[in-house]
Amino acid sequence: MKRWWGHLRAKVLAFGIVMSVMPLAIFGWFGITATESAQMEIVQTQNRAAATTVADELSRFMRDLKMPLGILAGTYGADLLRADGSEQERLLYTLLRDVPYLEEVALLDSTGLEHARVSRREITTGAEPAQYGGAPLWPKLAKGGPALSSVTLDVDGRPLMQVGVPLPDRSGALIARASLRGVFANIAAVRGAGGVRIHVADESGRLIGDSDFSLVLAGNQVPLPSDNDTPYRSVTGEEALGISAPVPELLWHVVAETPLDIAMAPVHRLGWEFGSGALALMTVVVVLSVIFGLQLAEPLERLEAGAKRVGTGDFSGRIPEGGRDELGRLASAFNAMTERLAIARQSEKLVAVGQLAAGVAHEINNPLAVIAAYAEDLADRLAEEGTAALEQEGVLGAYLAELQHQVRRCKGITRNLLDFARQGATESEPVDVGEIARQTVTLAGSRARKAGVAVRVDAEPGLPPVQATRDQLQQVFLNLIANAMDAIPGPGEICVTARRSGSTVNVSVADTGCGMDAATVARATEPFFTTKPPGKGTGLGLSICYGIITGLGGRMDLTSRPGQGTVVTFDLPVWEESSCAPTHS
Amino acid sequence: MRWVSVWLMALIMIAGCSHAGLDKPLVVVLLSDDVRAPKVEGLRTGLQGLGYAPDAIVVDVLSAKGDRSTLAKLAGEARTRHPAVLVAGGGVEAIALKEAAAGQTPVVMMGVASTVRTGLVDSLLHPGGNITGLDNQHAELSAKRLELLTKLLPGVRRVLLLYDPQIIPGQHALEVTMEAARRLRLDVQPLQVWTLEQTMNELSAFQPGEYDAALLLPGYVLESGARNIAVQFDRLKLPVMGPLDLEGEGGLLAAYGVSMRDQGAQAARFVVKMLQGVRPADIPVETPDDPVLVVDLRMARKLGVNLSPVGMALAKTVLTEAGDRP
Repeated sequence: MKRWWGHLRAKVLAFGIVMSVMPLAIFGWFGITATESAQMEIVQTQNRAAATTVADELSRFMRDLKMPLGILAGTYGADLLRADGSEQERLLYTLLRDVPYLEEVALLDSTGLEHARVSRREITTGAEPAQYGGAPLWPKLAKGGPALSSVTLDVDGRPLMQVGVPLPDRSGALIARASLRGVFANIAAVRGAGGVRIHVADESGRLIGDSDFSLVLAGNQVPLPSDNDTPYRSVTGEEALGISAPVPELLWHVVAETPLDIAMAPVHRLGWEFGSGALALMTVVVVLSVIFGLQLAEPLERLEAGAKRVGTGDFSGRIPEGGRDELGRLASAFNAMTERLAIARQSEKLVAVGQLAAGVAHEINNPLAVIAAYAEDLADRLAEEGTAALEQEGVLGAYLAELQHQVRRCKGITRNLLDFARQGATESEPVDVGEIARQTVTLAGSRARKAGVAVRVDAEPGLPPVQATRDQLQQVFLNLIANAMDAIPGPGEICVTARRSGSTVNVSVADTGCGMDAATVARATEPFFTTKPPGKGTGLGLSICYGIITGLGGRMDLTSRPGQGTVVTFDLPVWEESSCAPTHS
Repeated sequence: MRWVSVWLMALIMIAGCSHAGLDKPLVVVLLSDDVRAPKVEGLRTGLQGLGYAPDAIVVDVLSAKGDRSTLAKLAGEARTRHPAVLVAGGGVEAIALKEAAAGQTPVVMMGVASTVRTGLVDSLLHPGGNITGLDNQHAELSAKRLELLTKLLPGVRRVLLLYDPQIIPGQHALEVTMEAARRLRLDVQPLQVWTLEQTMNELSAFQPGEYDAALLLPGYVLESGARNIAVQFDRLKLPVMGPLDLEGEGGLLAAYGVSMRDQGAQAARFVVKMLQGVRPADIPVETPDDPVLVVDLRMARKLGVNLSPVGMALAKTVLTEAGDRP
């Protein structure tokens, strides 16, 4: 059995797939790699823009927080402390009204003692004044500079920070508490809508602003991305691409990052679409390759089967010729060749029959002469002695028996000839090699005797039948004996031997003819190769023998040397009941 | 058979290649009354402000139109629409949606009072369940409202408190306000609001001058019946302070808090986070970012009261005859 890659259709299919996949794979790999690189650049550009924008917004937010406090402090100065409580409250409420995200504002004296306080949510009326002297940001305020506290979370989880602005001449200060949640949430949510996530880290790297506030509550540290485009593990636990931007004045950092799966989603989508497209294209190519492979391979396979059939000597089949392309023309030429071979084979037979005709005529002539002589003698004696006397003596019966014998002899000769000349298909059958050899020798006997050639059949007793057809095997013997006789210029000998050799029967036809040189032996089985003079042979005898023997599952060899005769040997499988495959002749 | 398989595979691949457009996320809002419709407008505005085009998210609204008995059915209907997020217009809607969603669909509270006390969430920082959103602090801000009332009208001493004893935020607000009254040394008189008819009857028994001012605490009846109750306040010539939700409806002199529109806008942040896949349990409940004081000068003139500059300093919006002035 041929392996699958030994078939032409498989090669055509493989060629189609390779030629479709290879360019696609190379193009796809370069394309996707370039796209990946470009996408990373785009994502980092977006991240950089978002980080810078948010950092600027936070910076502006802090300036907007401090500026009204500074204006109020600068405008009123120490008079703020000297104003009555209502006026102080009015001014502080004005601040609350005008500055979003301010939760409360307090007015402190130079010792940090609270003089007035207003709040957006708490009741401040009647509350005990607070002392800010020990607050972390008081030392800077006491020195006359603005101060910012760290971000803390209140009981509601709101990130709060204190902003302090000193009054002129260090007479006191204004301290405001601002909620950052609104600004963080809005910034994070707005940026998050585009797939970019914003994290805000304070000066210690602690997360203070995020779209996912649970991360802030967990007190996570924000990993700052490196300068290059290397993915890193984000505070969210995902692989991400990110950019960090400092917030001027605050020592904070804004990290804008895009989760890697989102960042690379277009590339993955492109890869998927490209892969799907390539697969679809490949499927089409495979289908077309299979169709073309079949179109190409089927005629060739038919030709191969036809050639095998012809090789076995079966010239009856014809292969479909198909289209007008090269394969169609090849099939047409093959059919023409097969027809010519069939005619040539028949011609070969007829040539052989022609050669036999004289011998056969002679063979038949003898019994006919005997019949004529007996008939004439019987007629004379009937006339002379009478029927009754001859009958009584038993002469009549003896004469008639001889006549019948001679007629059967003629009939046998003609039957053998007809059997040989007959064409047709038969199935394998058990054939006695020795019997066929002897019958053939009988047919050729007359010619052999004329030529002074002794033909001897030496078949081993009890030889098993072989798997063959009588007709084919007879033709093999006839061709070989005819060739042998042609090769013997004068008196000589042809010896046909048959011996069992394991599961085969080994047959040899040896002659004492002129023999052949090595070059002639090499070409002897080629069709139409002959060393005989024109008109004496077709050059198909040995090639037909070779085709028949190999077609029957046997093997044929030729050994010869100039002047030392030729031996043709062939093996045929012993007949087995199970091996009754049909064979065409 | 082999060819059929090949073509089927090709068809599957082609089908796989064709990326049908993803469905727009669906948000279903449940309202107990159309008076809360401004919250939906605020939600839409908030979503746009957060970068979502008007057609990027489908917002469907189901309103009980004042018939609270249909809320459970409407909540069930909202759930069957398989939205990405459910949004509750207030407390009663949040309770109905929480039950209907059964932990499957995230629920956003678009301004609900006393969320912890009502059991909607475990705590503000850690909501715990499948619901989170905006706690509008109506109860907590009641104390500040009382203080601001005195800042606007320093002469106020006797204050009539209208509260809804049927709801937890009403009880909560009463507690907070009573404590504030003690600190502010005010004489307050609670009036229970069970039904609109009962409230109208009781108010009709009061005479002008019995109280210096009135404070409205959060309550469904007070919200839906604000226009009718305002008629009685007008008769009693009472300056009224209340939640900002009632602005323009309840005949208020002043209101403090967060407008319905701003509550909706702030709730948009939660909707966006949930659409981004954040679990409700991980999103702390927020309180209003920026409660504002609104004063109606037309009402002040009508009542004949003088407003203190201290209180007016915080007033962000002042309503006048000529229209709103920032």
